[in-house]
Amino acid sequence: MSSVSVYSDNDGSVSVSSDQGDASVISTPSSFRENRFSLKRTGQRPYTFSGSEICTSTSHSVGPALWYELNVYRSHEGQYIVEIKMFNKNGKFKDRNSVFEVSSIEELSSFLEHYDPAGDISNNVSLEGDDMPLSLLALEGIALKIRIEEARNQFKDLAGELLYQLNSH
Amino acid sequence: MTSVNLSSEFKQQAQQNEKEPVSLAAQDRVGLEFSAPVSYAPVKVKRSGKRPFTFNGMLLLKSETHHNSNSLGSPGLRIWETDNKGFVAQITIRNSSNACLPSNTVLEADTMEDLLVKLNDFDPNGRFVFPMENLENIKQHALRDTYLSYQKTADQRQKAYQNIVSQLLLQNAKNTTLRKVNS
Repeated sequence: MSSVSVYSDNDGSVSVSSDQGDASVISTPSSFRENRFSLKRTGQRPYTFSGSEICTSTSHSVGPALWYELNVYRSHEGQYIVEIKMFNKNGKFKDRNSVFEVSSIEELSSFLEHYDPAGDISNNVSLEGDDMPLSLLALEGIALKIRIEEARNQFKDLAGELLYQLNSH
Repeated sequence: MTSVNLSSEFKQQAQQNEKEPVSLAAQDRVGLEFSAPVSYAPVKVKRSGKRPFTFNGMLLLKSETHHNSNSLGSPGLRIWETDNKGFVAQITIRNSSNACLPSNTVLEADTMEDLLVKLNDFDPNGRFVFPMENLENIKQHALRDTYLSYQKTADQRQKAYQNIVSQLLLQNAKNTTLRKVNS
C-alpha cells in the first residue's frame, strides 16, 4: 500500500491523489510550530537548531532490503535543513544519518538532484584470509552493486516525489 | 509504507497545478487511450530524481497496463503536445509491488517521430528490486531460481512496454498514411 499525503496544521490531514494504490493516513506531524530539533548524524555530533518541519517522506515498502527517509526543515534563520536517513532491513549493514544545510528551495532541489546515495552504502564483507571462495566473492560484489543501484533508484523516486509535492521548479 | 507528508505552507502552492489538462474515462484498460484534443493547459509531471517538469500541453494519449502482483512492474505512458508544437512523454514503471514508489521518466522531442525513436530506445528494465541477503548461505538452485524468475519478469515487462510502443508506432504510421492520402 502506497500513499502520498499532504497535511495541514490547521485542518488536520488531507489525502491527495496517489497513482500507485490506496491512500493511507499517517499520523499528523506535530510540526509547523517552532521547535528545537536535534538530528542524529552518523560519525558526527547531532545537528541542533530551532525551526519547523516542512516535509517528511519515506520509501519504506515490503520488498527492498533498504529504505530512505527524507525530511526537510526550515530553521529560524531561514535556512533549509535536509535530513537523509538510510535504513537497512538486514542488521548486518549499518544505517546512516546525514544532515545538510541549504539556503533556498532552488538549492534544495539542486542538492537532491545531484546527491549520490552510493556513499550511504556500507559493505561488511571481510576480505581477510584466503579461504573465501571466488564464487562467493563475486556474489558479494554483485550484491554490493545491486544495493548501490537500489539505493540510487529509491532515492531518485523519493526525491522526485518530494520535489513534485514541494512544487519545486 | 511509502509516503510524502507536506506541511500546510507548501500545500496550497502545490495544489495549484494538480489538475490534469484532459480527463479520460477509462483509466485501467490495456492499450492506448487517445484523447480528444481540448486545449493547452499547464501540466506538471513527476520525474524520478529531478524536480517536476512543467509546460503548457495537451494530453494526446494515456496508456496503462493492468498491474499483476506476480510481475515486477507494468509500464504506463502518457504523451502531450506542447504549445510550442513539441512533444513530451512520461513513462511510469511500477516496481516490485504497489507499496513501492513508481519510477517516472520524462522524454522530450521536437517532433513525434523523434519522440517515437526515444520511446523505442527506452529500456523499461532499468529498475529492479533484488533483495540479495545472506549470500553465504544461499544455495545454488535458489540463486538459479531467483535469476530465472527475474529474467522472466524482465521479459514480461519488456514485452508489455514494446506492445505499447508498437501500437503507438502503428497509429502514427496510419496517421501519416492518411495525411499523405488526403494531401
